[in-house]
Order: sequence, then structure tokens, then C-alpha cells
Amino acid sequence: MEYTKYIENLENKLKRHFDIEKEYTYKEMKIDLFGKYYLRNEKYLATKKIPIYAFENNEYCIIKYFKDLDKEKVQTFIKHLKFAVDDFVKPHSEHMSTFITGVIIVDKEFDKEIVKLIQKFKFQKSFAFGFKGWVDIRLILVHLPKGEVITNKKGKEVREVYQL
Amino acid sequence: MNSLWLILVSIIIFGIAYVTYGSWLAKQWGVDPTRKTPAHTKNDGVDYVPAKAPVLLGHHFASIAGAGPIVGPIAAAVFGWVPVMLWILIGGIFFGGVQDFGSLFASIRHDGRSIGEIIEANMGRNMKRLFSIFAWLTLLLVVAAFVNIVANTFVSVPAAASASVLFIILAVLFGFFVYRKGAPIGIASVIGVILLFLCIVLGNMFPLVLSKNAWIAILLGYIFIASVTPVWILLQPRDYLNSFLLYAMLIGAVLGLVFYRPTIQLPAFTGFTASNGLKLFPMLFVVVACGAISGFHSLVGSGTTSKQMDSEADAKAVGYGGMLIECVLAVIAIITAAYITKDKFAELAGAGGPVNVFSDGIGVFMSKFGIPYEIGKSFVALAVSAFALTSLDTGTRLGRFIFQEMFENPEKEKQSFLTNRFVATGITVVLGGWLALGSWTAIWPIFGSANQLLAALALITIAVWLKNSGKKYIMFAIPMTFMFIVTITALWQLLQANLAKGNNILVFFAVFLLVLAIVLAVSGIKVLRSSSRPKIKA
Repeated sequence: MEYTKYIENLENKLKRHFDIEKEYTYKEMKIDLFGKYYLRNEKYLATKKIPIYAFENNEYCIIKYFKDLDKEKVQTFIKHLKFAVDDFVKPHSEHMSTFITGVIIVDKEFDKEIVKLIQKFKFQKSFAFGFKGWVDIRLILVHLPKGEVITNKKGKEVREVYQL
Repeated sequence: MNSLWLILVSIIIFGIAYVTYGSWLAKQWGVDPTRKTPAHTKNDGVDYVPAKAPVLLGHHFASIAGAGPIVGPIAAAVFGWVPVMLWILIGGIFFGGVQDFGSLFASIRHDGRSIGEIIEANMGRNMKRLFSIFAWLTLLLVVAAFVNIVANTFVSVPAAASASVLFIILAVLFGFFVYRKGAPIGIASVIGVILLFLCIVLGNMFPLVLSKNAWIAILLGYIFIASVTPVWILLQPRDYLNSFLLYAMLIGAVLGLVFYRPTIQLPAFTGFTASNGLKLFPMLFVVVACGAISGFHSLVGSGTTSKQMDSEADAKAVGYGGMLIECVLAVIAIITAAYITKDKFAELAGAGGPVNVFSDGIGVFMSKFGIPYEIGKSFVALAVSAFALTSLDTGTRLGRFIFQEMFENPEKEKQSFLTNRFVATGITVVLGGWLALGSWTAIWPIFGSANQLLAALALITIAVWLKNSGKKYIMFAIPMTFMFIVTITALWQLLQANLAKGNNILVFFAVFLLVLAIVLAVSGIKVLRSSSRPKIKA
């Protein structure tokens, strides 16, 4: 599948739940598709003015296209995902979890080492020992010509969304 | 008399009432299946979402069922089992079911608004203010009553105490593995349930023996932590695992009854004044509490359930049917007290209160199909304590919130230290704990009175709305009049009794509730006599 068709399909899938921005620039890196998802759950008694508890689950999708890929580009992309943790995640007593989902879309063949790098990547951070929630990074690599989707452990949960 | 017949006859009576009286109520109120509900007219994909009736009934029942329908009927067994049985049957069908169904339907016709907003719309703002103060004081009683009941249970069934401690640890671990480690919920549930029953076995092997006051202190510490801790750490995983306990307990109890079919031994009627000095009128109707009618159900029904009602026709199944199912649980509870002798009942109730009676009874029933008695008993005590702890946690959270709201000033930038989450929780817990140091037998009737006062308020509110809508409200006339008479009489008696014993704090509660009950009764009569129109059209 060609890139324009794939990104169009992906946007249609995500826009039902995410606020989408195209051509987004983050720390001088051009992002093709940037999605923000906020979910707030509340349990209340009788009226919304009497909450029993509330919690929030958020996700940020950072989707970038590369014609060709090398290890250095992947490392740079990962670095930006880690910056996003500091910039986007605002821990507070009702914050339960945030996912930063980084998606790399690539057209050409790439080194097998990159597959290992993606699969072994792990990032989880707790805020105030988990009392203010936590953040996980999902890392996903989509190889368009083969229709392959490679993910880290956390990325497996959403692999289906990025299938061609 | 065979207790199996008792439960079967009760279920048949409830079934007939559901088909006949429930349908008559729906016809009188103008329940219209073709009319669009707020779930459709205001569908926002968040609060207002249509849900299937069985799903909604499950959610609604889980919200209204707690330790109340177990504790109340057993506590009232001092009058004999017949008055309790009759009140569960008559009260459930003509009082509690009508209130639950009515408040749910009224809420549907008020665009899914809460009973609080309906009170404001039909009875004025001052009534709503009174309602807030009343709610906070009632929540203190909830904390006191349930802390006391759980502490009693842990003293009388030490195995359940250690099982409860292990269960809390298990819940935290369950949440950690599911949320943080991504464990599949299906596999985690199977392992969780296996470990849950292992907790019960370990509890029996290593019972935790402590004094009642020590347990009260530990429980107060626990509810403070549970109320300020994020819900994903303890509350959510614990409630999820609790649901397995509830269903296992209900299945075990019914199966045990079928296998055992015990004969009723408790006296049918002990007299108009019980051995503990309580008078049958009005105390029977206050002490049974949630087993026949509960004011808190009106809050649950009008809070979230009404917003998800797919069709007005489902209101009968959810509101009226849900209450009748709870009445069946109350019947099972009274059977656990009625199948034993008066002396045995006094011994078990004296050793650990109603939960001890219930746990012992279901433990014996389950032993008839192979579950070891000790395991069965501690399992039931764990299950009931778990419900009580959930009620405690929710009650404390709500109490904290209402307390914070009392001292919040939107015009000021710097708020009072009393609005601090930890301070507000601490005050609610400490005051509830102070009340808990007394006897649960002193607290429960006051709690029951507060609950029945709320029921009277809900009944009068719906009656006012029906009158203002030009509909018949005769089905509310007797219940609301009766509940006001019961509440006012009970509070007067409790005021005198606590004054004589020098329980000043309970005297304060009784006075406040008594004044509130009289104010509400007078206001309600005024509104019913006037021809004012509601601000909210239904």
C-alpha cells in the first residue's frame, strides 16, 4: 500500500476518538499526524456535583513517515517520544495513565538491527509511586511494502489499528 | 415450617406483585414505551447512552445491594420472624418497590435529572440545602454503623479478618498486574478468583485475633487510606473481585437452602416489645431498613440509571424488579436467623452481630453440599465485610466531598484548610469513628431512621411531581404518610432512650433528624395542598 492511502486510512480510523493535527512540528521534527485522546471517567451519586471518584486515561499518537530508515533516525524519534513524556503528561491525583504511541512508517527495506531495537524498547515511568498515575511508550514500525507491523511489548495492544 | 417453602412462596408473591401491581403502577403513571427516553433525546455518548435492560438491572442491583438487606432483617429478628417476613413482603411490594420505580420514572421524565434537582424544582431551594446537611450527617452514621459491624465480624470470625487483609493485598496486586503489566483480564480473573479462595483457606489457617477497638482503629485507618488513594490502586480491582464473591455467595446460599431445607425454629412472634427494649412499632420498620425500603435507592435510580434507560417500559424491570430481588436477599437473611433456636440466635448475635448470624447460617447451608463449615462461614463473613467496606469507602468519599463543599467559597482565591482533601477526609473518618465506639445496636436504628426519612422525602417528592403533572398519586399517600409517622415516632423514642443513657452525640443526631423530619412533613403537606406548578416540565 502506498503511504498517502495508508495515512488517509489511519486518519479515518483515529479521528473517531482522537483530535487530529496534520503537519505538526514538535521540537523541530515534522510529524505527519499528531493525535490527542483524552478520556475522563467519573462515578457520581445522584448528581454530577457529587462525585465519588474520577480518573483520566490519555494517549498521544505521534506518527512520522520515513522514506528510508537507519538506527540513528529511530534513536532520534525515540528521543522525541521521551521529550513528549515531559511536555505532554501532566500528573495529578486523578491522572491514571498516559500512552505515548510513536509510529514510524517506512517505505524502503531497513536493517534487521532496527527490528530488534523496536522490539526491545521499553519505557515506563510512574509518578509519585503510581499515586499520580504512569506513562508508557508504545513504539510501532509499519513497513508498507511488506505490510509488516513491528511493535514493542506495549505496542502489541494496538497492533491491529496499524495493520494495513 | 420448612424454610425452602418460605423462600419459594416469597419469590412467587414477588413475581405476582411484579406482574400485577408493578403493571398497575406503570399504567397509572402513564409509562409510555413509545416515548423517547433521555438516553435517546439527549444521547451524548457519555452520560446519556441507551443500555439493555438486563445490563442496566445488573448495574443497578450491584449499586443498591450491600450489607444493609442482610444486617437489617437479622437485627429485627428479635421481634420474631413473622413480622420481619411480613414487612419485607408488604414493604418491598408497596413501599420500597414503589419508591424505587417511582424515583426512576420521575427522573426519566425530568430529562434524567437527579432526585436532588427534582426536589429543588418541585419543593424549593431550602429543602435542597437541608438535604445536603442531612446527607453528611447520614454518611457519618453510615461510617459508624459499618465500621462497627465489620469490627464485630472480625472479632467473632477471626478467619474472615485475616482473609480480608489478604484480599486487600490481592486486590492491589490484581490491579497492578492488569493495569501496569498488561495481564489479560480473563486469565487474571481466573487466577484472581483462585487466589481469592486461597485467601479464605489461609485465613482459616492463620486467624487474626484482635480486640474490637483495635479493629475499629485499623478500619478507620483503612478507610482513610482507601478514600484518598486513587481508585485504580485499590477500589476498582477490589470491587471487581467483590462481584465474584457476591455471586458465589448468592449461589451458595440458594443451593444450600435447596439441599438442607431447614425447619424454622425461631419464635414466630416474640411480642410488641423486644428483649432489648425496642418497640415493634415503629422500630421494626426502621431496623429492617434496606430489606423493605431504602431512601438511598432513590439516589442511585435517579443518578445514573435513568440516563441509560432505553425505553420507559424497562423502568419497571430495573426499578421495581431490582428492589424485589433485594427483598429476596432479605428473605434469605431472615431465614439464617429463623432456622436456629432463640438461644442460639442470641448467642450468635451477641458474639458478632447480624453478620455472624448470617455467616454461620449460610456456612451451615453450604456444608450440606460439601463445603467445609468453617471455610463456608469465613467465606460469607469475608463477602459481607467486603460489601460493608465498599459502602464505607464510598460513604467516606461522599462525606469528604460534601464537607469540602460546605467550606468552599468560589469568590475567594485562597480556600479554608477545611477544604483540603486529607483534612476533610480525616474529619469525616474521625467523627464517624467516634460514633463507632458506641454499640452498633444504638447506631443502626438512627441510621435506619435517617434512611427512612430520605425514603419519605423521595416518596413525597414523587407524589408532588405526580400531583403537579395531573396524575394520581394515591399509591404514595399511604407509604409516605406511614414512613413519616414511623420516622418521627422512632426518632422521638431514640431521643428519649439515648437521653436516658447519656449518649449525647446520638441525642444530637436524633434531634436534628426529628426537626428535619417535621420540617419536611410540613413542607410536603403544604406543597401537596397548594396548586403550584413545577419549574421542570415532565
